[in-house]
Amino acid sequence: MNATTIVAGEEISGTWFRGWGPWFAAVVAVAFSGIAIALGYSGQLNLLDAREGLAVVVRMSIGVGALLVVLSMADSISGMRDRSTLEPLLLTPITGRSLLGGKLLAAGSGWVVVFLISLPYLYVIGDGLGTIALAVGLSVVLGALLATTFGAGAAVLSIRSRTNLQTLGVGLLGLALLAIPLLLPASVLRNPIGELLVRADPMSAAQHLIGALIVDEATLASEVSWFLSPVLAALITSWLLWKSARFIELEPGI
Amino acid sequence: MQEGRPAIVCTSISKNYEGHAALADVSFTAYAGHVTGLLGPNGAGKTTLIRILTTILQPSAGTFQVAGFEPDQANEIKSLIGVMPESAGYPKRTRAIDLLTYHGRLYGAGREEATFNAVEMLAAVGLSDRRADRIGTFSRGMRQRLGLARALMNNPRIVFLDEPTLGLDPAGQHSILELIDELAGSRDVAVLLSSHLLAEIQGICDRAVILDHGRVVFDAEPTQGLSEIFHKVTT
Repeated sequence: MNATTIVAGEEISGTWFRGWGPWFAAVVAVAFSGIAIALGYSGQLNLLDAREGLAVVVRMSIGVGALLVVLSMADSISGMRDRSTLEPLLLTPITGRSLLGGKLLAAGSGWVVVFLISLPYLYVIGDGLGTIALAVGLSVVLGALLATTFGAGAAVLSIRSRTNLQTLGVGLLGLALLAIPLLLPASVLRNPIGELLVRADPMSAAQHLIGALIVDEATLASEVSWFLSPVLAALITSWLLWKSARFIELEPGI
Repeated sequence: MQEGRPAIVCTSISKNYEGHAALADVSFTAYAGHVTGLLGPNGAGKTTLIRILTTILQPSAGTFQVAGFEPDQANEIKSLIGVMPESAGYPKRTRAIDLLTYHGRLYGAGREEATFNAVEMLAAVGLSDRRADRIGTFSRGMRQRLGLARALMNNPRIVFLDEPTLGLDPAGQHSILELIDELAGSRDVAVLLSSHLLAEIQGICDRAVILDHGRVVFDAEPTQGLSEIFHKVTT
């Protein structure tokens, strides 16, 4: 077994057997149940139609998974610095890449758990719509791309930051900035600059894809170009992490 | 005293932090089978020097050899040394045996071998009966013992101990020092023991190096005027 899988195993064990993982999973399950119940009463309350409900579950699965990965990876190095647990690991012969690779794999387990929890809800809400396979596929592909992007990005921040608070602050600010295009009025998004903003932002592009393919029933061929920014973002942040992982320091900049 | 083979050879090491010299032209040699004391008041540069010799900090100038390896052979050095850092943190929810097993595996041991070594090391530091307990329930002294066990998990040839008795009561200090003395004698390892306590260094070290403001002001056997120099440094 190589060092990456040893680190991943230890981190997964720490999160899901000794840590907050099961509690988080319970909260996510309750939230999904709330949506399912709301949809069950949609006939009387007119809250969401089934396709919109399905899109909400997919968006939630991807969004919550990405948030979980960000929180885990933001803690990966700067959190260990704060708790004085980084030095003993740096003193072992494992490489920074193995250490962060293992931590990224373990953080990804959070997204996988959220995705698995969403499956029965996708099945129940999507029953009869003929789009369950599409919803699952989008959850897997977009979820993996965004989890990689945000996890690797948060890890790079964590390597460079002096404190975990700094990493979390900058990381969550980054997430909030990426949500801005989604909040712009529809008229802005219809002009070329607005569309470019949404296309360039991996999170907004992913949200657009989910809406277009599940709710509006657009074809995959007509929307495939929207995958560009999520794919590019995952590749660029992974490359940055690969480069930065060689320079994990006890105190950044010293 | 008969000197063994050189385990640590430190040559003119300097380290500057934003214009401030933490270490200046530090040179000394430590030998296998001996306990070398690194003595000095707080802020003398002991921890910085240990971090440089254990390859997790780059020197501004100078070079060193650890177990015959140069600074650019960090992985070779790391696989042959054991380190007990000053005030290392521990994952509170992890069991003592799991922490040591994990560390053993990071040095390339299989799970069974690492678990076996962890059991042995916990016994060696007197923590056998607490091996399945979470580290969060341990006293400071027990955590120091656990740190020593972790430093020995890869059967190192050289052990760096940075203030291993810090914060312990006299009985706890005595117990840790006994373990260190036994370590150098029975395993033929070189021990570099950092401390700000003269009595600790006089008690078990074969050789002592005093650091003052990052400079070596004494490098000899403790019997050769160690206490006079140390009192000059600290007053």
